[in-house]
Amino acid sequence: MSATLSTAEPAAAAVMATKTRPSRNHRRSVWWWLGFLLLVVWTIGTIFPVLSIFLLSVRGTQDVYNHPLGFSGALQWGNYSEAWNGAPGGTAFYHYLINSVVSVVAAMLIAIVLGTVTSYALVRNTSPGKTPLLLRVFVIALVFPLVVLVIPIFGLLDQAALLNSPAAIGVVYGVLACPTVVLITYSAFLEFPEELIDAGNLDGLSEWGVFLRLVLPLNRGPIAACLVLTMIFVWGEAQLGIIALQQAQSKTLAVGLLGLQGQYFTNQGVLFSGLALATLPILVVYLIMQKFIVRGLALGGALR
Amino acid sequence: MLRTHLRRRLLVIGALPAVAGIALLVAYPVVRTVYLSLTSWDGASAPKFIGTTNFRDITGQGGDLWATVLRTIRFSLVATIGVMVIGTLLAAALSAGIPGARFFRVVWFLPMVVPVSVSGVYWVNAFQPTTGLSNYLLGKVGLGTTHAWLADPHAALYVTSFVWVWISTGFAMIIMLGAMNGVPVEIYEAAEMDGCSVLRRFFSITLPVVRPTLATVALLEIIFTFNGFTLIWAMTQGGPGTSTQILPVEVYRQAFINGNYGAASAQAVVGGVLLLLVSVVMTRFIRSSSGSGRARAGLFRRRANRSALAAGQGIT
Repeated sequence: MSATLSTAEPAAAAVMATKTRPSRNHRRSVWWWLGFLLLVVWTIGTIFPVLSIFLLSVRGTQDVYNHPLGFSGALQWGNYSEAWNGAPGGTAFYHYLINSVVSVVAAMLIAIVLGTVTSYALVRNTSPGKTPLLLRVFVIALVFPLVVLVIPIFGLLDQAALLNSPAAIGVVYGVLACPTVVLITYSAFLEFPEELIDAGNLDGLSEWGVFLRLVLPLNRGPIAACLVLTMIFVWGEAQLGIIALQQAQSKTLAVGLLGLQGQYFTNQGVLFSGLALATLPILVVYLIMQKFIVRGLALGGALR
Repeated sequence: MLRTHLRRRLLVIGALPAVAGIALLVAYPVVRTVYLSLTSWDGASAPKFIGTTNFRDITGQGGDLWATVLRTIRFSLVATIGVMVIGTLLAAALSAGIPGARFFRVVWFLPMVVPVSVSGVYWVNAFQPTTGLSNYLLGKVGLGTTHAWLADPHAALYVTSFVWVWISTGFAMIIMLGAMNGVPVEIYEAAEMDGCSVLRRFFSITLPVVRPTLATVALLEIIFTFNGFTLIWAMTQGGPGTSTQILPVEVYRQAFINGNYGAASAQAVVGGVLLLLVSVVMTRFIRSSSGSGRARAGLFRRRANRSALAAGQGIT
């Protein structure tokens, strides 16, 4: 690793140089090419596995074994219907999909409603330049690893008879995502011009009226970022899910996939169509919303 | 008068639900886990208070706490260093405005979007002997095709760390890009006019300015990897043997497979305390380095600091 370190950083600097003085930099150094090589390798390394999942999802087992990247072999669309309806004795994939959607929607609702209301209350109640105590509390809440929380949360869900409920686990995820939403929206609301709020008040809007009609609509970007980040977190979360969602038909995609390995070993292609089905929805959302993610993370997002 | 009063009420009412939620699902569980670590509990009957017995058991003969902790630290360090080095490099390239920066940014963040269980299952297949991608590629360059990466107790932890780097580098890259873009172009131009070399500019301007962000991202990565249950469970379930059994996996096994909730809680407490210590130390470092970074680069505006993550900012 240290070898990478010593070659990597000069290379980065070399890459940086190309933009600042393109005209003078005719002779590109070894570092430039090494850096460029790494970028190319990393790009290939990130695109191809994702692409392969989709290519392999329409291949037969022999083709999967012979061409692990998925570029050659016969098309076998039947994999998808097999995964969708489940192998004999296995769980149909649409159960997982529905459960994932349910938990994601519940989590997004809870996280956005609680998070934005809280950060607006914080912004309107603290004097400029001060970090509210409550914000610190939320940050501290982010630091506790899930491993410290899982056993009692399992106990709580058990007592409330909410085990095996994707909606309930979605609510839990929503609350856990709340600090992130507060951090992002707090930074955003802080920059909201006070004159606009005063103008709203003069026009007869209450504090909450200003919040609903001015602050929320004019902060669509950061809110969209919170929604996407929550969605990515909940769609992939399995540590809490695996303990709370024990019945086969209550599992989300992320949890269901953990048990998929042995289930379809006679048909590798079906395994990959399962992976593709789990990836496609979140991938589409990401590609549509990706610019918000960058801005949101810059405002202070940290996924659990 | 009335206005301030109203605002106070707004604060209380507005923040109450979220505070209640955090109290119920974060604060209470933390306290409860500490309590459970002092009990013997099978999950069904009432927990029985047994003092520090659990801690003595897991640290004593036959207990493998320290082995697990060391393994977790090794996984965490290898993964975090990988993520930081590659992430910094990619961010530097993007902030230099390489052609197609938008495309690269979108692509490099992709692995973060793919659900971790999907990545786990995909890479397990990719590391299979004979049929997997890794050996297919190694075979193409004549290095043999039969290595069973994940069945090798010496390699498995590094293979999972590698997959973690694959997943998380995009996240680090995006945040560091934000910090690097916060450095005004004028500084680079001034440095260039003074005849600073490319290397010099990177080490004397970019790195000092983004150092607090680097530390923050490193801290986040350490927290994430300490939570790396899903990836390990999807890939190896802690095996072969115990070679990838990091702390959260061990806690899950103890509690939900062996039904030994007290001992599992004790392990979780040790992990939590360890992480807290790391957070405190690194937060100190972030605070001090953000000061020196400001001094060295001559400026460190709020904007640049903002992208150092409110998370890092809030702790400091």
